[in-house]
Amino acid sequence: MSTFAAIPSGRALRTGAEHKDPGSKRIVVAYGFWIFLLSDIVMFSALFATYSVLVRATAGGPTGAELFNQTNVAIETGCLLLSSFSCGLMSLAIDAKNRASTYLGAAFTFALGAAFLAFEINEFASMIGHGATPQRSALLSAYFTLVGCHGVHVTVGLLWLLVMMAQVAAKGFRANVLRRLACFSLFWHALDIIWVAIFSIVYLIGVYV
Amino acid sequence: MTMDDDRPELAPGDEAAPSVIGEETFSGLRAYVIGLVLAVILTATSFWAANTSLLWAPGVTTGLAVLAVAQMGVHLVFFLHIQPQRQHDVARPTDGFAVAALMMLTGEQGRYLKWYPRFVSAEVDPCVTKHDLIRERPASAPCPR
Repeated sequence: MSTFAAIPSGRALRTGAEHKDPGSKRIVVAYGFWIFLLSDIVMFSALFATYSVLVRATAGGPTGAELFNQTNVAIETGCLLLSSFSCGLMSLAIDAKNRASTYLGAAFTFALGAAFLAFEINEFASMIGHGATPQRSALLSAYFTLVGCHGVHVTVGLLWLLVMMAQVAAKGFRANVLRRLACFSLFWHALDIIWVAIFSIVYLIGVYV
Repeated sequence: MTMDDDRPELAPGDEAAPSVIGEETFSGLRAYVIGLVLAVILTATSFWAANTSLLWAPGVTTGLAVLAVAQMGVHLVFFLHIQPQRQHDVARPTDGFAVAALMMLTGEQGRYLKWYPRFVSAEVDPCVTKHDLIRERPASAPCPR
């Protein structure tokens, strides 16, 4: 709790008795979810480091410049960015307790996320079809692990979004549903931040080097 | 004491509690639109920089890393609402989290840059081959040159 004590303003100066109340459940849940997101980022950092070290280890196979289609990556990036944006609009609709707008925002978020995934699966399939499988070289192992891990996260996020919309339909904007929706929103925006690192490091810098 | 004291506590990533819903929705919408516009500009610049021949080639890698860091910052501020002056005290450590997250992701880019001269030298220096990177040749082996 030294972090709080170090901030010399307002509520940060809690007394011992108040320490027993760590804040509302909504705050504790969001706080815990941020810690999860950070642990996820730690894992991605390890995968990024692996990729950076192995980027030239092609074992005579195709290089990044030969493998990656920039147009495809640009479309994927656009899909995910717009999906993040519509997720933000969905959050506003949730704040306003507007069910129809929430469904609309969720539908756009889901469709754009699914489009991203479709492009990515198509890209993977095309690479594997040309013999650029994860077994081909250390570069490809690192590439499929890093980008595939992000793709798995997006897939899980899409399933989560479906579940949340079912919960909104069945339970309405209850406190626990609102907390889960807030966590989903954090998760989805965090995935877009990871993707910024992926398209920069893997697809742009990785091709340029 | 700050003027925040009357506000309700905010969870990390929360926006200010809506008192007048229309007003808050508008300001929230504005943040997302600004974030989207900035993100599109930064992304487009990145893709352009990586594919143009107009720029000084050795500087492009650094430029791409800087653009990526800037875009992550844009996402954190406009999409995840990490804004120190708007956060209540309980949320402030998350700003530290956000900074830590940025450092972890961009630290890898820094590592990349550190490796960059070595990768380049692998093309021209017979003593530095790609096998060095997978440790097939002992680092202490004498250079045949």
